[in-house]
Amino acid sequence: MLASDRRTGTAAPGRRRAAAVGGLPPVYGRRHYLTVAVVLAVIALAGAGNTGNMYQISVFNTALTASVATVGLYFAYQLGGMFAFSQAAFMGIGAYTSAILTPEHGFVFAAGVALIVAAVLAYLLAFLLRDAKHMYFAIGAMAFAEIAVLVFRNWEVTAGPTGGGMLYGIAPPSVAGYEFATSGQIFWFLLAVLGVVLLLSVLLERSPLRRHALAVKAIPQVTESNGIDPRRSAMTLFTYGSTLGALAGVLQAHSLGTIAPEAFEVGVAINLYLMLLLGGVGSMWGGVAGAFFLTWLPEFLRPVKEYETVVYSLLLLATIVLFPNGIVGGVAWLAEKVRHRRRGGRSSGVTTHA
Amino acid sequence: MSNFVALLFSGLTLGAIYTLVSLGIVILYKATGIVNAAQFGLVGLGAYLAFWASTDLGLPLVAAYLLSIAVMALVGVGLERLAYAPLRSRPVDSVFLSTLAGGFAFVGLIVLWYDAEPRSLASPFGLETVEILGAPVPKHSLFVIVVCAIAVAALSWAFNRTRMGRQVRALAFDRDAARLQGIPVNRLSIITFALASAMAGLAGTLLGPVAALTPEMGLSPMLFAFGAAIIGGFGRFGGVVAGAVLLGLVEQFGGGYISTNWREVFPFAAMLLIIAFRPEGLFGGEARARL
Repeated sequence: MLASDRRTGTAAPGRRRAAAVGGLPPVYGRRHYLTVAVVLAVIALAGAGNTGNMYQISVFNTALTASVATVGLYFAYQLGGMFAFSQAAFMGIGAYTSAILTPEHGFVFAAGVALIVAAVLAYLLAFLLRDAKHMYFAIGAMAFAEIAVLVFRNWEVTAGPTGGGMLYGIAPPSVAGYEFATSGQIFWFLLAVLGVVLLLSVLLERSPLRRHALAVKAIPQVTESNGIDPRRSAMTLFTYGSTLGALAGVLQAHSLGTIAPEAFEVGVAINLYLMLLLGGVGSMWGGVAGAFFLTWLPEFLRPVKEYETVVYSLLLLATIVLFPNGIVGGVAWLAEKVRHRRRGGRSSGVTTHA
Repeated sequence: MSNFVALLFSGLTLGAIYTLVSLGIVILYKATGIVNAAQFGLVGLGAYLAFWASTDLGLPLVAAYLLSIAVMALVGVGLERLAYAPLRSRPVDSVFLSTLAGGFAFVGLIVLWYDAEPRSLASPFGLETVEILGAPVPKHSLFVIVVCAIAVAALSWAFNRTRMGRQVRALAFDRDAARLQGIPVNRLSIITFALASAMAGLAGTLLGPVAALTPEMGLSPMLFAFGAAIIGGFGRFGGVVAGAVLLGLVEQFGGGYISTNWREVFPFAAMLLIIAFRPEGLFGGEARARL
């Protein structure tokens, strides 16, 4: 029902309010499977020429890993409405679990266990904080993240007392006996994983869960009286998003070969937020766009490397204030303008640029 | 026994520092309705300002502390004008994110100004200690506790007895009604930003001699301050003070009796449990903040 409102452009009373939060995601038709293919093809074409260049391809790999984490953040934060400052911590949980289990059990099993551990922890956290709203959830998630980083830094299992939580020499990913040893090979592996993640996410976007989540965000009282448990959809989405975070952590650990607790601190979660908001919080594609944009930004900022933190934080501030719909929102707005002009008539009323 | 007393005083010291950060957050929330997550950057900035004034300018420590607090009050005014004013009409979670980003901007500025290497700030009392019940207690700890007690007393007097305090309480009670009554919302917003920022700066300078100076030194104290504010129900000062002291004591006693390395885990775990099971705070009474 909400979906059809969106398509015809009649403003449901709740839509305006939700739109003010950052814009509702667009309707997901079947054509979004095509979008997945296009996005993957673009990345593949851009990356294929660079697989020989160790440095360039490692930037691609970082962006692919970050995309998985920010798509997860989109589900937890934008759809689920949960302030997931724990996203970097879940990356750490995935990274450490998988790195520790791989030598004995192999990559696939270790990665699987890592995802299950993260999913269980995420569900427990969401369950524990199920009544905590907005800021309270944010603060609880930050407390969880701080605990996780302290665990990485101090636990014997994560080489805390001896190595400060640094793990070295993590094996590159290997599936069914084939090892993705070079950065170029890892690129294709990461691209395949991102493809699976995007397909799964489109499935989820087309499922009733998304419609429930949107309804919960827009008109919580009404959804409750219609038999939708607002907490359940939020908890499910948070768990899915955090598990994607853990998957990103697994990918990061095995493609870099080394991990340290600093890579999973709250500040890193803020960077993931920056990616999502820059790319456009309105859809999962925003996560991918933002991840690629922000991974390349330092390449251009290299002359002013020391200013990185300042630039990033001011960029985040400016994005929130000036471009609440990010890159994808801006593109959609332009497309709408062009379509509007071609029709030469009335606007369809769909304002993606709030 | 002497171990107990030493831990008690270091816990109270941390509690006092968390109280200052937390009360800054609470009065700002009451006067403007926003939760300021930039507070941790301000804690760090205050500490580095005092460090700069005492080492680079060569001022005596007490003067350096006072200079830092004064500059921080001005920073608060600037923050209100530049960062808060354009966000006034935004939804509460965007504001939270942007203040957090603002905090990291301060961290970045500190890194540019000095670097990320840890430094140490001296206390006006140096490393002197006094013997209390057989335990050597640093004079700096007593100094922190006294300063904090004075600040809390002054603040609660101002809050409960002055005209401005009544206006802020009216704003916290019902923003729209208060505005209609002609309460100067803008002026109060600037004043409380200055006050909260000065308190964060004071907390930073007092924290300097206890912990090392790093650009992100304010992050855990701010999170504990959020915890204290929640324990106190974002309301009465007494509850906030009790929450801050509770978290400080949990950190020190947990660290002292269970495990030093895991020291910070205990207050974070306590916070998590309180948000989960008693989100209205431990003391009931005032209604949960509308966040």
